[in-house]
Amino acid sequence: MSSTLWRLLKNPSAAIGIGLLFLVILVAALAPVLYPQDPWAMVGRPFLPPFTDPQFPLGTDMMGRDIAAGLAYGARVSLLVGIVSTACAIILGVTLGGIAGYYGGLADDGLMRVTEFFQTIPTFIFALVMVAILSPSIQSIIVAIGIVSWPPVARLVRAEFASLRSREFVQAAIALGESDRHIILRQILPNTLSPVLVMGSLMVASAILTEAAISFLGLGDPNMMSWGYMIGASRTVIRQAWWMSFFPGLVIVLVVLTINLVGEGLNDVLNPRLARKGRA
Amino acid sequence: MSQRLLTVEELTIALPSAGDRVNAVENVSFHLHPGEILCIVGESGSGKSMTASAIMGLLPDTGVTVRSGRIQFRGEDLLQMSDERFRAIRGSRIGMIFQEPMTALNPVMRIGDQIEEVLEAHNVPKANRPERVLSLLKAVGLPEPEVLARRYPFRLSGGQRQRVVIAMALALKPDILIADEPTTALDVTTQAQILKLIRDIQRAQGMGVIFITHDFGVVADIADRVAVMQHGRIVEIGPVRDVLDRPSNAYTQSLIGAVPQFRDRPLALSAGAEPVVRVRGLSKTYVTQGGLFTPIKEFKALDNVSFEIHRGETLGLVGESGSGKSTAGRCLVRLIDPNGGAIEYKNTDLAKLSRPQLRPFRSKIQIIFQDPFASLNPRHTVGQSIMAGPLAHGIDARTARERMTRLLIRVGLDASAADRYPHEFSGGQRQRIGIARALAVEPDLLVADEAVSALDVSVQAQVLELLRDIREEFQLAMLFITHDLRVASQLCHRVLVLHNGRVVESGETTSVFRSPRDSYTRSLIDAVPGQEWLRSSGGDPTVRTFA
Repeated sequence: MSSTLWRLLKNPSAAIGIGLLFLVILVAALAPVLYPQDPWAMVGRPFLPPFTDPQFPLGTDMMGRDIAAGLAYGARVSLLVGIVSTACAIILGVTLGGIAGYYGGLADDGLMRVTEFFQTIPTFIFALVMVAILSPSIQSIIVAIGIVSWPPVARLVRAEFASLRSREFVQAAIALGESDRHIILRQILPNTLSPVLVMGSLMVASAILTEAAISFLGLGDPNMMSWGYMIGASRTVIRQAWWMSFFPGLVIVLVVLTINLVGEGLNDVLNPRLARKGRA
Repeated sequence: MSQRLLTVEELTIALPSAGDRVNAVENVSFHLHPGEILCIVGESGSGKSMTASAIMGLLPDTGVTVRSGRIQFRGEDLLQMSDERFRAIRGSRIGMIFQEPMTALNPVMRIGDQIEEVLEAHNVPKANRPERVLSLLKAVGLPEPEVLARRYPFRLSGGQRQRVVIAMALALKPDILIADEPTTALDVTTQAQILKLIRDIQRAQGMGVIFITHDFGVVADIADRVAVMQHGRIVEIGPVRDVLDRPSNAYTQSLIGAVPQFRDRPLALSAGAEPVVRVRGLSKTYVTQGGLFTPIKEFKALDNVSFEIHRGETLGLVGESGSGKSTAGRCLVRLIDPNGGAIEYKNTDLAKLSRPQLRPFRSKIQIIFQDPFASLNPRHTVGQSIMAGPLAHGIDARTARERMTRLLIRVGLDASAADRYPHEFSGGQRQRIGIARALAVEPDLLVADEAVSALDVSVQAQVLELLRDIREEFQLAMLFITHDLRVASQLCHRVLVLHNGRVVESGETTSVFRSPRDSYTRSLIDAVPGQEWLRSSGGDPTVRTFA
């Protein structure tokens, strides 16, 4: 794994991505130190434009809240939602996909019909409905995003399992009398992790986008500052105060881009044969 | 024969720096006359295919480059030529046939169109093309050319596809045909037909042929001259008779010595009275689900196959691809569930047991696979792979580890191999690891499914030797599945010939092979390449020595 990391760092775009991501994580972790006051607290004059008051470098919003503080606290929400919901989706997807791919037959048919059922519902609307039903909170957003994003993982893992299952080393393990659990966990699963890891890293980015969209529509956690909420709340004043929605928007774009850079770098390193051509 | 068609002079091809040697091909020189078949023979990694690719200008563009040398075709250096000029020569003056007929054809294009495309690329007038296509298909011996030209590749058998590929290579009557292992992926009877076809066409058109192969039998049947390659160099080159019968180079001698041959005398056997396993009426039918408009299709892979194997005895299961021999092996270890019949092991019918009931018996019947690269988990160390079996059967870790170490040494590897990963080993070494893994659970019966087919001939001989030794040492019963009759003859006490899932002949190996009763068995034996050469070499055919 250390050699993977090394090769990842030698890939320039992945190295930039990792650097920026590290910065975001640092800001998120240090938010309470950097901005000890509550991000919801009204600390300054409302509608303060950016780069005018050194105390509020990115300005304040229509209630006089510090936008820079909001961004730092929003990073915590975005990263939390992105990582935890993706982890849920991967655990669910790997479990169901693995069972379907390994056992085939009826288990496969049944689980894949369920997967298809989930895939027929538009993901974003499904997530919105779930958040609305579960009452808006960070937990329900995580659950909703996890539940709408596992089907592609399940399909990927199922395909990998189905092909690995017929490989000779798995056949040999069956012939040796190893238990199914052992074969699934020890023989097959480690060989499917690379594509899952790549897919997971890209899912983090889309989960952050989904969370932003949910918060934008006003269904975010009312107690936690989030980028989507900041844009949503200030969209009515966008003509008078562009910076209130511009900076959160910029941060979302940058973070998603960053995670995509890391994901693609991972893809090039872990699946060298599928690496996109045209790069030396 | 005075004029040289192709001259390769001091060709050196560099590998990318990460490779295990600097040059793929080093200082290789040879020439080709019109109307001559030159065989380039060598083991995998000897640089024989790389040489062919260089002549065709098809070297992979990942850092593999021609460092020095000349390739002259009728006085013109191909390496200095402009791309445009080369393109005109490639295909029209030099044709090529590849190993894998499955991938050499475009699957979504009709056969006729594919051949026409070649003609089009080299400016044959449109009006003449359909007629040329039909005459080409006829020339390579394909039945009903009109019908075939409209078919897609998937409807053709492997041999038919290879004929189409040959037709494409011959489309513009090239002066040189380069054939890179064209028969390796084919059954032995198909191989014999394709070899004859290539030779007939070559005679008729007076082409020069460069034929790349690893099989000395094929060399003996087809070559005029032969070049032996090792580690990117030509170690010996000369007329086929001289090289095969009086090899001067030590490496050539060892290669020829390793060629498996038909055994003359039956193998001595002190088998126990009670068979280890008794298989009766084994059947397996594959049923494809019918759709709304498609009827249910049935395919009998195995039809009422019966045999028994005694302790210390090896039964050979031979036949062409699709004969059901692998299905039989996999039914025996219950990787496939048979539809009918019994597999009796110590008064238990294994065919009737459910999967959980089967588990305690799993260790008794083990299998070794063909592909040494696919049969080991790339993420497990060799030690983990070998110990997995004993641990699954409740043997404690210390005993398992001791057994693993002992077996690694027994199969000819170092005990330190346990901590390394499969990719660090060669094909032959991996096959040894596969054997150690199977032996680790102390089986009574070993199923070897084409266990030496993917190996180079010298490695093959070593692995066969190992199988022979462990059979004797552990008094193992063995089911040896192979398509290569020569290998079967080397190792097996008795053979069973399968054809379309049915046993057509069985008996003591040497008597079956010397005087086959069944016509199918006879056609299989007649198709084995290099027989004339083997017969003419005389002496004791199991031992070949050179003074």
